[in-house]
Amino acid sequence: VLVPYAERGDLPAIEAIEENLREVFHAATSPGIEVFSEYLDFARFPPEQYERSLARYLQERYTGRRIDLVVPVTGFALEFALGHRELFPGSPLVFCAVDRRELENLRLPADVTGVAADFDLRRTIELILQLQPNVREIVCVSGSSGFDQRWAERTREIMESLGSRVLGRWISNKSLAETIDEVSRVPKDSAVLFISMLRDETGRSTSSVDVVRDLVHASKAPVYGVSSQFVDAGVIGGAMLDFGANGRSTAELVMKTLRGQWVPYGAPETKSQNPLIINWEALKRAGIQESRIPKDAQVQLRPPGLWQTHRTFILLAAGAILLEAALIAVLALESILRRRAEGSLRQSEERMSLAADAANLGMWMWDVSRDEIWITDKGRALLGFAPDEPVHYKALTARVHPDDRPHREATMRRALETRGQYAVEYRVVLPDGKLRWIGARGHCINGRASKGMRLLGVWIDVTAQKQAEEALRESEARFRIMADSAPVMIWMSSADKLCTFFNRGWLDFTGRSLEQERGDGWAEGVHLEDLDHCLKVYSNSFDARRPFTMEYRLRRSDGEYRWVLDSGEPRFAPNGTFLGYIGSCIDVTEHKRAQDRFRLVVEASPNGIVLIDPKGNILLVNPRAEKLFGYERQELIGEPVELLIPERFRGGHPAERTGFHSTPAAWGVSADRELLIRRKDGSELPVEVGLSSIEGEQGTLVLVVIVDISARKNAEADARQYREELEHLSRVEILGEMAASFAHELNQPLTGIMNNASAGRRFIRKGRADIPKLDGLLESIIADTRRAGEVIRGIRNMVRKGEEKRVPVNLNNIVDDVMLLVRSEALERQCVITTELDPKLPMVIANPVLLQQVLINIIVNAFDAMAETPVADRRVIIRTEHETNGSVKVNVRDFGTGLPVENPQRIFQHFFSTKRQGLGVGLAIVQSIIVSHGGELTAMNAEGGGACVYFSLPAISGATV
Amino acid sequence: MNEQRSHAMMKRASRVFVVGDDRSVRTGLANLLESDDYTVETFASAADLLGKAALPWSGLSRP
Repeated sequence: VLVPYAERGDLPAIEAIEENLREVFHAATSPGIEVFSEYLDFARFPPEQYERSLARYLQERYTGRRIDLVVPVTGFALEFALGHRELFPGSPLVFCAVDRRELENLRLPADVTGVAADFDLRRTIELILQLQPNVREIVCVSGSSGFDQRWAERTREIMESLGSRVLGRWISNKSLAETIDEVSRVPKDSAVLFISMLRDETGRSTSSVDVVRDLVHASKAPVYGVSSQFVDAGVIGGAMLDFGANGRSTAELVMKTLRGQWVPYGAPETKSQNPLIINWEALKRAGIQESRIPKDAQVQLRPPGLWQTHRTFILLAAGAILLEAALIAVLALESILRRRAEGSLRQSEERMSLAADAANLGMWMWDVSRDEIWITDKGRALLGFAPDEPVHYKALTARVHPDDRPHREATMRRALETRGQYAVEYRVVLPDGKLRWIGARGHCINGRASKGMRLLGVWIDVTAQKQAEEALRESEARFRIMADSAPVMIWMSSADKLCTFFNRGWLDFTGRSLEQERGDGWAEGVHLEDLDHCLKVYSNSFDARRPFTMEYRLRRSDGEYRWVLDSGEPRFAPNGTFLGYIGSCIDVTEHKRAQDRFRLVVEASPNGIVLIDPKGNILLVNPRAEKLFGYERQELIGEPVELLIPERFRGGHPAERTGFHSTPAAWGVSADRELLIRRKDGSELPVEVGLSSIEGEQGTLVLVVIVDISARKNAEADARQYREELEHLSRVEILGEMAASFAHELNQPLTGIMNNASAGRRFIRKGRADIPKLDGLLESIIADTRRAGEVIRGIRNMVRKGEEKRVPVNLNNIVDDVMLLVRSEALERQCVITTELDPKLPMVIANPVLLQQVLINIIVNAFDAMAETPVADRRVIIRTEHETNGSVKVNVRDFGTGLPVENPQRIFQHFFSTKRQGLGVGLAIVQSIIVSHGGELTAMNAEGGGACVYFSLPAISGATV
Repeated sequence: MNEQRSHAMMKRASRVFVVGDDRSVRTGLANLLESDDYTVETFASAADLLGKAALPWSGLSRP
């Protein structure tokens, strides 16, 4: 920055400007400013004479240097700079202390701004008139320089504008000496207004401040001026241009410009500063009343008063007096209050001690500076001090568990440093070695000075609370471990419905973090179709504080929605406070799929299916069951199962149902039973029923599978009828084969009867018929008649078609009956039949006629097999025996040709016969009869030749002949 | 008449052995022979006859 001063540097105004410019520039750190000052001294070296050489000088001097900004000081410097912009092309101008009126005549380029300087002569003249209302005349003094003349002219214009209010006289264009002389003769009731004198009429350059000082000294009348430098020179005052302030404003404008902030001329900060200043000493010297000073004037050089000169002393003295008085009053008051306070304190302490004891609190107070501790008896007891044991702070500290001391000490120290409160928990080690948790709370009192500082506090035994907290922490830890290891998803919510906990199982399932799931976050994973229902159930149950169970789809970590069964239970504190809910979820997707499959299977089953609950009510029926029973589904659901049972069986059914529920396994999963069911129209239907137990939420359910066996029953009846027909035909056939034998067998008793009757007649005719003889004959006749009757009855039974009645039968009797029928046949065949009958043979349940048929068939076959056997060897042995397995065995042994070696059992096949004239159905029917009786029929070749055919039937336990 | 009486006495003096396995036939025939004045003994089988009866003829021997 280049600062060209129009005047020389030792002028007070220039010095003031330069001092403030440098002060601001030096204070600036950004940008750093290098200042070049040029004192052009135009007062002694007129510009019209030296301007060109001066310009050349500056050009040469600053060639190669970068001047960013030029600060012309006062008007001539500005005119020179404006006239030689080529010296510093592109550098803006920020002028300082340039006459405002001069600036009005210039057309300032856009890059020129600055702070104007204005001699406010009008306000100065008005000040003269205010201070000296009766002033005779105002003598205006100025020099001969152009500057001096311009301001003299301005003053004249102002004076003229005031008209008759004031009389003006001019002293200008004179030498300094003449000027002083003329001023010395100005009357005392006038006023001297010094305008400016940079040069006198002789061309001598003058310092306006020096001139003013001389004028003041010489003048009898009060001297006024328009520059702040004149105050110290002795002028009374004026609206004074402050060059220092002007320089400071200019410097600040320069700084803004260098920082890129352009402030155009005319802005408020470019205005001249002209405060109204009064020299108090000069005013007094001139005898002007102080009351005439305008209120907006600054009074300078006013001698300080008693207050100003001795203010500190006065304050100290007054303070001391007041302090002493206050002390006296305070001491007196304190004495009174102390007595009251001590009494109150005692009462307060007693009340506090009582309250503390009642609250189980120990109290203590520590006078820090004296290390004195007051402690209640309860406090001593809490820390294990004896009632008379001296207690000081170290002793207290020693009681604290070593691990807790640092924290406690830090807390107490902080309370002391901050004069604040403290709260801390720590353990104390009692003299017996036991640990006790102490909760300590208190505050610092009298904390404005270190002396007298005390800590007041209470102790409470919080051991139980700590143990409870520890137990709670352990309980919570255990709960978390248990919850995390549980094979279900667990959640918890607080009383505000927001979820607070999810176990590891849940988080692993959803693949989300606890933070994501907390609150309502879990609902993000619920399927949108289920969300409304889910939230409704949750919210309604929550409001009613009742348990709930619901199913919804929840997104698994792999993105698949899985069905979960969520069960929630309200949680209550021991005092009944509602705490929220805890719930668990299990993945029931597979279960639901199984349910769906079950439902499909049930619906599509060709058999009737009914599901019954533990109370015997129907839960489910399938379409086939609807058709079987003739009911619609809705007519059966919820109804007792006895509805489907014929009335005559209903009474005993509940007991059977109870028996099934008590031991379902004993009934077997497929314990098929043939039953009758009752249809809606009252008809009955034979069914086969399978029972299965299903463990459900409602208990043991019974799944009943019902198979309609009416068709099978009909088929069985038909088959039975066919079989009976075949059996009958077989019997008729064999009877036909044995007709001759039967005739012979019948003829024998008839012959006996004939002979006995003939004998009787002869005895009678010969007169030898005594009664005993006749009685014997009649007895024989009766016996033979019975015998013949038995034969006829046997034949009739064999021939007759009758109902198949099964009764307890002794097989020995069957053998005897058969022996009666086949005896004649045996004689005819020259065969001998022998029997070996077990006398203790158990009974069997059988149809006797069918067993006779079996035995006759086997015996006749034995006769046939022995047709080629020598007569002496033709024997048939019939043996009955009780086997160890509980069955009864009948064995028929012959000595005939034997059975086919390769497959002896072929003889029981239909249409297989070794006989030329046989149909091959006899033994096949025999086998079917034995099987229908639950028995077995076997044939084998016997040792020594012949065959052995035997059958066995299940015996009635404990039933013997 | 004497001839008839002597014939009857001859019948009583002779013995008839009835052998048969059927009791009714055996007993009836024996009663009928007795009514015609024969002395009758019954045997259920030939072996029984040979074992129990005092046979009047020689030359027969037990089987």
